[in-house]
Amino acid sequence: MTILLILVSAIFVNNIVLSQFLGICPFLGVSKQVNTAVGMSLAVTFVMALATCVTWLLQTYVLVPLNMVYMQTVTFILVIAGLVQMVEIILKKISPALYQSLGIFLPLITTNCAVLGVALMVVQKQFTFGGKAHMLNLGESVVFAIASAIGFGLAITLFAAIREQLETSDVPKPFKGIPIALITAGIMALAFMGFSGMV
Amino acid sequence: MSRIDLIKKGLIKDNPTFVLVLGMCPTLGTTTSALNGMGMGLATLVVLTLSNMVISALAKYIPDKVRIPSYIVIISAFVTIIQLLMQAYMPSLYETLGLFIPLIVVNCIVLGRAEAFANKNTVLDSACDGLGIGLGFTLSLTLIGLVRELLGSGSLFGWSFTGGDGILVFVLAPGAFLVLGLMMALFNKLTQGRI
Amino acid sequence: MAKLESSMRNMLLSLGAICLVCALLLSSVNAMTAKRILKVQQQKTERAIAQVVPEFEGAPVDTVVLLEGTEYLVHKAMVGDSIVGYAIESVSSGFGGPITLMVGFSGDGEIYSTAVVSHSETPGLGAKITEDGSHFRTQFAGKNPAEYALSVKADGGDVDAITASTITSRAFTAAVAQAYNVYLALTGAPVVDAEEEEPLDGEGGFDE
Repeated sequence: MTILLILVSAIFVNNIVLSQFLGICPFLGVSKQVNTAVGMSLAVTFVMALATCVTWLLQTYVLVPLNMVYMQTVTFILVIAGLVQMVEIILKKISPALYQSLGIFLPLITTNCAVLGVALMVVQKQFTFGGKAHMLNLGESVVFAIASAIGFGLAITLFAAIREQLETSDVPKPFKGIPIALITAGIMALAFMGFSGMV
Repeated sequence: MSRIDLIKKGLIKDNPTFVLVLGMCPTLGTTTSALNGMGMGLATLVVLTLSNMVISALAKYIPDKVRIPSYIVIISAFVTIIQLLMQAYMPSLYETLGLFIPLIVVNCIVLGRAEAFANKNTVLDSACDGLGIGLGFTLSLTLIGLVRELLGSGSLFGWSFTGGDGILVFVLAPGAFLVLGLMMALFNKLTQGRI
Repeated sequence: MAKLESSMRNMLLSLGAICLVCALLLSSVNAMTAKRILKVQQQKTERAIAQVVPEFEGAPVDTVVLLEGTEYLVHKAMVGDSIVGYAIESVSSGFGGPITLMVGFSGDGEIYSTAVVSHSETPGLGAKITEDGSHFRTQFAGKNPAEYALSVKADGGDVDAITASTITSRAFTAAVAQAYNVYLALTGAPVVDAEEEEPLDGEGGFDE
């Protein structure tokens, strides 16, 4: 039951892109075509889940006991950078085609605020899934990360579909490119607000 | 290019928000009021300038293959220092900006300028570049925050003059996207052919 | 600017040196600011306590109450040796996230006042719970929960909800009700919403 709550909340109610403003750079940059968007979402889901798992363990078993919570930002981002490198190497071996199509966007996952953002959220904020406000445990954190990544994927794929259409529309010159994309995102965010209060 | 020109460049010609389209996450997430936007911009400015200077100074001693991780460590160290100082001396701004303060470390502007400028130029030039881009960022964030605050809460820098609420959507998520998109279009219109 | 060549030794040395210097720098900044940060957090709690209980002297005496498996922090406001008020921290699930309240009870079981410590409610709607002078907030002052039903009117209680913010109002009221149960547990009276099977006196955690 809690898992369902986490899924609904992270994917729809508090969508990481459209209501928490994390992951905007890739959202605007990678969403020109649906298949690149899908590939990116899969990569982000994998990195986010793995990163959240490792950083949660790091926080609970290293930083807190050693009273070094101030090293949180430094260690977390290093973990993420390291994981992305690892994913790059593995992907190059397993699926060179996917590696090629993702191109520059793979290393850019390191600077995706969504990944660091989710990793920080699960160790800093209290959540109210399934009753009382509490800090998430490891299992809930990983589910939350996967759910947030699915939310990211949903937003970015929907957005890419709309942008493919926008390419063939007659947009006024000052609005061409990013401005009209942002306004579209605003309307999408408005639509997603309809999910508020569901959880 | 003179040092003064370096600083001026970041304000309009290379404005990180409207021209370079970098650092979008904090731009959307912290501009619910002019003061919040300004606070965020200034925090980023400090990190950007200091990290530019340090990276420029150490560029000779960092082997090419480890340069990105090294830059990340240096930037995140400065971000943590800003975080601790804000938590101690500016607690209410710290609480409002929340998660976006540590997220300065993944703000593409900071790493981007380190890669593109700081590791190839002198310390003083890099400082000016950081200052200019940082000021441009602060300017955009303050402007966007101003518009959103005016329309959404009916107040200006915290000074309320409608005695109540404005058009609520502007301080909520959709409003951020809409205001930024419209302001960018306006910026494009105003600078058409001039940059 | 000629760079160092990327040999393994050079890479490890430079990255290691940078990491070490940064770690040292951060630990010293942390040591310098730690006390101040703690003080800031304490001041926030003290301000909330002062808002919700009658005038008191000296620092409040803190105690922990265990109720239904959760620990609650109670601050007892004293004048000399007598307790003039109890400030209880209570958390509930709001619309946008947890709402943390400080609820103050005077010695005779009436709610003295409430204060919002943190929340993530919608600005202009649920966020109105932070308006100290609003009807929603002032309606709790002076009420005795033994006679004043702590649920919103839509749920059959006595509390006027904020227009268009029923969920937030419910969560706020639930937090107040929870604080009242903690107050009752602390002062020895039976809990209003008795759902547990065992009586409360066996439960450990009392710390007077």
